[in-house]
Amino acid sequence: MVDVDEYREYVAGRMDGWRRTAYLLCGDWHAADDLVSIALVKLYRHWGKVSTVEHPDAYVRQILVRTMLNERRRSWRREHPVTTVPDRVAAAGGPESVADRQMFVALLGELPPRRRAVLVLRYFCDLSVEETAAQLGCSTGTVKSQTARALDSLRTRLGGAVVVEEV
Amino acid sequence: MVHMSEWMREASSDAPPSGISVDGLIAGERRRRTRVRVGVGVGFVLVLSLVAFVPIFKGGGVSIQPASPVLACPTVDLKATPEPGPQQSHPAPRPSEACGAAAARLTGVLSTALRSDVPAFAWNTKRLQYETLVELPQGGKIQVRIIAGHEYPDRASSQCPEDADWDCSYTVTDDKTIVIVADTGTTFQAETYRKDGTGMLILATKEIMTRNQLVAVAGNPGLTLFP
Repeated sequence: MVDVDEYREYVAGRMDGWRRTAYLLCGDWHAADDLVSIALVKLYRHWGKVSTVEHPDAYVRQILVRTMLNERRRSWRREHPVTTVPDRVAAAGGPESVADRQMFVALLGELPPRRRAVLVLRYFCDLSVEETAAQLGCSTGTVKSQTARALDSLRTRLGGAVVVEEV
Repeated sequence: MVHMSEWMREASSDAPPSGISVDGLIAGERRRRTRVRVGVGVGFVLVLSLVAFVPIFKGGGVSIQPASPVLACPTVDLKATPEPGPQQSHPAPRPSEACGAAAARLTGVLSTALRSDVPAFAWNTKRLQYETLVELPQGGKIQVRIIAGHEYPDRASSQCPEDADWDCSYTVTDDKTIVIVADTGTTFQAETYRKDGTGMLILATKEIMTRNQLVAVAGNPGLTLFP
């Protein structure tokens, strides 16, 4: 029997972080809410087991990432026409304006999904290489190479240096 | 100089209000469980019935004839791996209409709406949707995809974000069907959400019809999977 109150309390405290992670993964707030909804339903189904493990967050994060990776293969709902592509200008400092933020998310969105996922897990979720590999079900070598290639792509697009903090 | 972590935090800092209803998700999952249990029970009874009755038919020389001719179901992409339907927080309703009958009916409705012969709708086994591509004699193309189990948006206006960089408008018809039309310059894209769970996407080149004509086609009550 699922302890619904415990589930609600757990979800309420983490919803914001999950939505932000999902947004960075898919680049769209509506799609992010869809991803989180799927994760919440799966979490509810398995809450009896998941609630007893040490890090339930990892379970939810894994659902978000894997659902996003599967999502790229389907659903015409994601087809949104755009008339212009984001400008690719070099930015200095932090993303202070709305345009800067949107440009950054657009650049992330141009990366292949697995590389995008690696960046989000490592630099937004602050996971180590080993933890990221576990979440994606791949080797640590793959995580390192995907990270390097993703950062190279961003450096090229931004026309400057991308600084990362070692996790 | 871009600090990756800082950028990610800033880029995701202005989240809009969440449309996720945890209670709604829980209720939906409970309904799904109930349906699964009922389905298993009904299936068990059906299997038992078949086991009991088949020998009677065989022994008595009675042959079972279909009550009416079954229309063939045109399909595309037969070898594809079926995929789930669109993202949603509740189990998708399942149309009760047979595939062949639904394809024929939808073809008729679309043909009437466009006042032109149209290729028959086919069932796409990969995307789990009915689809057809019409090339009109006077020029231009129109593609129609119809899928079951789409979530009805809470607010029609949310489908056309204020900061959208494309020309977007929405219409709510008398039967509460929401039709979103995006103008991409050379094409129109219409997304339709029906209260009954039908979702439809129409992609049309602009020389074929005006926006209002497209809305009329997209909002046609006959283009539903739950007649």
